[in-house]
Amino acid sequence: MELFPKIGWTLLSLFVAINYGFLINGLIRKVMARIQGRFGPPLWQPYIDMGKLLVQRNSIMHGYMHWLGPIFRSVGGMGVYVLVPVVIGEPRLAGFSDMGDLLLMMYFMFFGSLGMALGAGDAGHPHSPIGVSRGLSQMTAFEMPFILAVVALAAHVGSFDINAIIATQQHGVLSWNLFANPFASAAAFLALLGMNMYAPFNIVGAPTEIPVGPATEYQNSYLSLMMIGRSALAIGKMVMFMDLFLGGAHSIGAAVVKILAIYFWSVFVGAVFPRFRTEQSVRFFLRWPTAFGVAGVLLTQWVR
Amino acid sequence: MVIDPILLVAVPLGVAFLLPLFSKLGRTAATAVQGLTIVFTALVAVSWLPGLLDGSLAPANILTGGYDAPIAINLHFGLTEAVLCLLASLTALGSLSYLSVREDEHTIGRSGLLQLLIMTGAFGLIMTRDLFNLFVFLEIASIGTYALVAFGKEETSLEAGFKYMLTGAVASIFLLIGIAFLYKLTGTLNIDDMVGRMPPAATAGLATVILFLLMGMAIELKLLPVNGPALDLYDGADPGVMALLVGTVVNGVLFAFWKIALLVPGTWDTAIMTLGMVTFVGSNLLAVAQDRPRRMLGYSSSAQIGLLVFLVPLVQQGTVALAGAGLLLINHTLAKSGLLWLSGKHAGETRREWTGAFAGSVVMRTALIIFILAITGLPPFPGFWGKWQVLSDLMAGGYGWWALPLLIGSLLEFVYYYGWYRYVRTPATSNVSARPLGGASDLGGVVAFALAALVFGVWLMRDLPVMGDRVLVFLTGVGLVLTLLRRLPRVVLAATATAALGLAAWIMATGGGFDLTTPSGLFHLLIIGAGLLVSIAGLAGSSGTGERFHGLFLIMIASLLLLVSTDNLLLFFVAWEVMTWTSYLVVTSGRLGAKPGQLYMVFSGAAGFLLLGGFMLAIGAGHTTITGLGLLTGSTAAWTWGLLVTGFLGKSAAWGLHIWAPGAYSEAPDLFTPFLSGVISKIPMFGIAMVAFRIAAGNLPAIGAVDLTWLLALIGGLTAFGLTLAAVFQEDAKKLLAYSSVGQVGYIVVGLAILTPLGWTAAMFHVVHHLLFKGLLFLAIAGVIMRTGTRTMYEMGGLIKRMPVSFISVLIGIIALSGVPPLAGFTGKWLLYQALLAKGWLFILVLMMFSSVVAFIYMFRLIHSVFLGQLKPRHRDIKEAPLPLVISEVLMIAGVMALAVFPQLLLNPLNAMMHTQFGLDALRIDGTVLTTMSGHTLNATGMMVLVLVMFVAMFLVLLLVSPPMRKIRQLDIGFAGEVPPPAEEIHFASRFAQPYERAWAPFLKPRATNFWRSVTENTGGVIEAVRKIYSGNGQTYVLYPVLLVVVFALLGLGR
Repeated sequence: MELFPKIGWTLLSLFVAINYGFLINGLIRKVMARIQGRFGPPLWQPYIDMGKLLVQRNSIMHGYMHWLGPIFRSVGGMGVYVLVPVVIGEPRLAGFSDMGDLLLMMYFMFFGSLGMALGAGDAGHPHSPIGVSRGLSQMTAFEMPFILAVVALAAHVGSFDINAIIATQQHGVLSWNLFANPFASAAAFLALLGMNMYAPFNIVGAPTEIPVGPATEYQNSYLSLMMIGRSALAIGKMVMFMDLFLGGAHSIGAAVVKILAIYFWSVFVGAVFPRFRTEQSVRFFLRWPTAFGVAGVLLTQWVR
Repeated sequence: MVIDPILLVAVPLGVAFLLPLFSKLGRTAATAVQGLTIVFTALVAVSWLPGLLDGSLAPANILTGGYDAPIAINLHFGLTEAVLCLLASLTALGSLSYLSVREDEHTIGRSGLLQLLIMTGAFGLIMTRDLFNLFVFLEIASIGTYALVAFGKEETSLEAGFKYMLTGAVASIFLLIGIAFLYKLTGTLNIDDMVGRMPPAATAGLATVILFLLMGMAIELKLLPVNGPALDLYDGADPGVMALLVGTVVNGVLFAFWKIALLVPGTWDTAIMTLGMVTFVGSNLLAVAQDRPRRMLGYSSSAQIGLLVFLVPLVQQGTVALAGAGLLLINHTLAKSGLLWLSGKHAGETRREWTGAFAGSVVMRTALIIFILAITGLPPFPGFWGKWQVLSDLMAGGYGWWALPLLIGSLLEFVYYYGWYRYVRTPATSNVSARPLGGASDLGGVVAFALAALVFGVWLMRDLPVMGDRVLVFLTGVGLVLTLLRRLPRVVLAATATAALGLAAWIMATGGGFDLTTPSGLFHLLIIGAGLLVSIAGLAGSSGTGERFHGLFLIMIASLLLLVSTDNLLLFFVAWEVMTWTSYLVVTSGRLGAKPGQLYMVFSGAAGFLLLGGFMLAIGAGHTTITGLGLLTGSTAAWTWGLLVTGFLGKSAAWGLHIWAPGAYSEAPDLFTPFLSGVISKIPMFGIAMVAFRIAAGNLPAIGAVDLTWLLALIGGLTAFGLTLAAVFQEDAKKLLAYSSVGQVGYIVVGLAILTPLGWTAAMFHVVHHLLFKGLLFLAIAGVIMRTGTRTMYEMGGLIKRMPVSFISVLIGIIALSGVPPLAGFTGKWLLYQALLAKGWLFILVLMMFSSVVAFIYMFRLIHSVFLGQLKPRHRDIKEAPLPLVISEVLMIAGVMALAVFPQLLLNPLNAMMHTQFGLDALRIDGTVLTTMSGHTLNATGMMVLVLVMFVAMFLVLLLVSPPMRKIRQLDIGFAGEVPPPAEEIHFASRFAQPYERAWAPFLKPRATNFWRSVTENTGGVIEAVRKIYSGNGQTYVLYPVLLVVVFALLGLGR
């Protein structure tokens, strides 16, 4: 595809994805409220928040790195989304996924977190590095099963190319990696719980009792930028999981459903579990999920 | 014109008895007469040397009394004798300059008499060919020794002298018995005559005769275990006297042993070699536990003599060249006398009391390290060439296994000599005296011998092709000058070094030395480039006093340039060892660098000996070039590969062998650490790639089902993971980066172990990239340390506001390190992971990916604790790092960015390099798209553009919605609804990764450190047990030789 139409389609796709992310966020709040016996906010509450944040004005400056933090965050989120192919065989929804492969996606996911952590640190509030410390600890831990799962799949096709991994899953539902390599899938979906940071792995933001974590440093337009980034990142990640384990999607409708299903896996787990301490979550990921991941890699080697 | 050698005996003997008369004229007269006598003896030897060397003079054979040999006493004066006599004269002269200022009016004549008497004995021992005459000279020398030692003003001297005399008496008895029976068996006393008349080895009684002779000599030679009194002597006697003895009597007795060994049947060879080698290893082992430097020197002498005794039968049977043993002897005489004189210049009894010794004197410090380098057998000193010759001969002669104890003993020498030097380099505290004794007037011998060791060693290199390389000679020359002139202002030193390196770079660039498609060219560029950046940064000066390493730095760069370009095993090893000691000296010049420096040197020494072992195996198989290693096959190939790779891994601080690295990296001068991490740690990688892997991987057997290259990759992976994890928990910024550096080297090891074009491309790419970003990080942190005066991260914070350029340097550095796109760290990791996946090493792939994620913690930790958070009040007025540092940083940032946007700049030449190495391409490079041979693509430039476009877009968006803002003060912040009082600052930095620490606790025991500690402790226990044999009791000392005779007789040795 020519460069400019590609940019146009990518922007459109990104716009849709971000809106879908907003809607899912609204849905989550609604669902969580109902589980807890509340009525809950309306579905479009994220849009209301966004609008409110955008009209609020910020008149103080904490430092240049602090100012740049949300930019890193939003670029990181949108970058991950534009690097994954959403619908099989549809170049208009493939973004810039020809630039690299699964490795590029995995490493680009850190871009936003790194920038935001640096920005929050610049503001000087001691609580944000506490959140970063917890977040980094947990992240390195859940990366272990996730890496094992990814390596298991990549070794199966001999490539980190996401299209090649999708291609092996096109022989019916049972050829999906979710069933073809259940160990790797178990490892990856447990890792996803940590990635999405719902309970029991929500110590990083520690949302209610104490304001901890980088997000506490940002309000107003900063926060709106971060919401955009976070939406894009969440959808990007879910698309990646869909491509890796659920056979990708042949249509936008299938993609919408699969993304929702993957997302709500962590929401439902989060609804019924209390919170882990950081070291507990680190240990958790380094035990069973890691064991599943190792089994997944061994399975691939055995099959080969 | 030559002078009759008989005067060597006659003149000193004659003058000796006149000396008391001269002393009546005053001390100057006596000293002058004695000095002139010694100069005369030296001239006798010198007059013969040129002729004997070029063969124009025949050795002199002197007959006394006008009769022929069997009847007359026969003296022989050839090249060996001339060299030994010259050494004896020079040592005596040096000792005279040392002793004369120490003696008072009353003793001067008598002491001089004894010194001349000892010389007479030594000259006689060296020249005589008559067995009984040999005994007589031995007694003359011994009597002189007893008296001179007992003459010392210390009480211990008398006791030492007496005990020495007791065992000396036993030795004399044994020798006399032996000589008498030998006379009965052969009917002659002339040694040359006797050789022809020796009865067959099986003759009844001959073994007993030989045993008595050997035991007598063993006592005189101070071999283990009968060297107790000799050791007490070193402890008790005046160091000047001991130096005299080393050069005269010790060498004389050794040569006497050489002559007696001519009579010993070949069946005794193994016994003699064993006795010598046991002495070498055992004495060195015992020296390790010595806390008193002088006694330690005694053990060391004993060990060196043991080594020479070991060589005597080998030289006589023609296995080892005489030159090899001779160089070792000359080296030992020069270095040991020098060390003894220096040991007398300091009042310290124990090593601790030597703390900060000679701190004020460039001459004494330089001489001391020259002697230590020489005696531990490092190039360019004669001992190195001797050891190389001996080892090659042993390998070629089928005595390869003997090289093993030889190398182990040599390593032990590293342990105690650099252990001693560690205290010397430690800055003195106020309650320890650092003043040298006796002023500077008695330094003549020290300076002369240090120069002699250096000049002679370099002279031995005259035929090596390296002397023709103008860049090497130029850099080494400038380096030597700067080392000696290291008291000049620091800016002058740095400017000279920068200019010299710039000139060298220019010469090499015009000569095509930077051809990136060859490994040598690539490394040339890295070495010179990094050298220039470091010396530019050095223009800034630095806090602290000891960091004047510019001269050594230039010598080091010369050695590195040689190392990466030579094909000769000897030259490679020379360059390797020069790199080792120069970098060691630079590390110890850090303020607290002495202790980690010792550990660095011991591990580097061990690595060096492993390499030497590997090279010797190759030489034993007839290959003297690196290319020749490719022809090795079978178990030789496997052993050579294993030794080389282990040596290289030790020097690169692979996991398990890494315990030296954090200390050495962090305590080295701040401006040198970037070079240590960026270049020196890469040299072993060059070695693995270009030396060890010359041995075809197909020739390496698998251990069970495990492929050796897989094992190497596993070690690389464990290094990457283990040291990354360790870096997470550091509080010291330099230590954090040190662990990180070593961990990063693990990635390179893995890349090389893959042994495919893509794996090697990944490794080489990382070599270059790591140099750039880690150099950048270390330099930026050096600037921070310079300004804040601390390395502890939690004592800093908020420095982004004061040092923005340093912050940007660290930011770029950690993004490059992390592998987060769009910087080149990602390109490097992508190449490595693709290569690992293609190779099918999945668990190593997982380990590497996981390590790179764990690294995020320490990277964030570094930048946050230092630059973000709240600024400490005391840092409010801090300035940005000095301009030269900033310039170096900006240049490195430019390099990192260039590699990020255009990785093909480096990948294209690497592709060509791989084509030469493997005959295959690693990558297909079309414009900005990299494609592996299995069809995977990456568009690094495109990625960068994508990220930049998005970034600029979002930047503009935020700018649009941001109104004009007011910059606020640091503490003007909400704190959970409260405002902290202005004086309070809170910086969450100490134990940043505490939850992580708790989670990993079971894995965080310092296993490697504990292992090496237990090795040290157990060795110490063994030494303590063995040391009990030296009871200090004269009776037991007499008992040992007798028991030894019994044991030898019972074992039936030599029959």
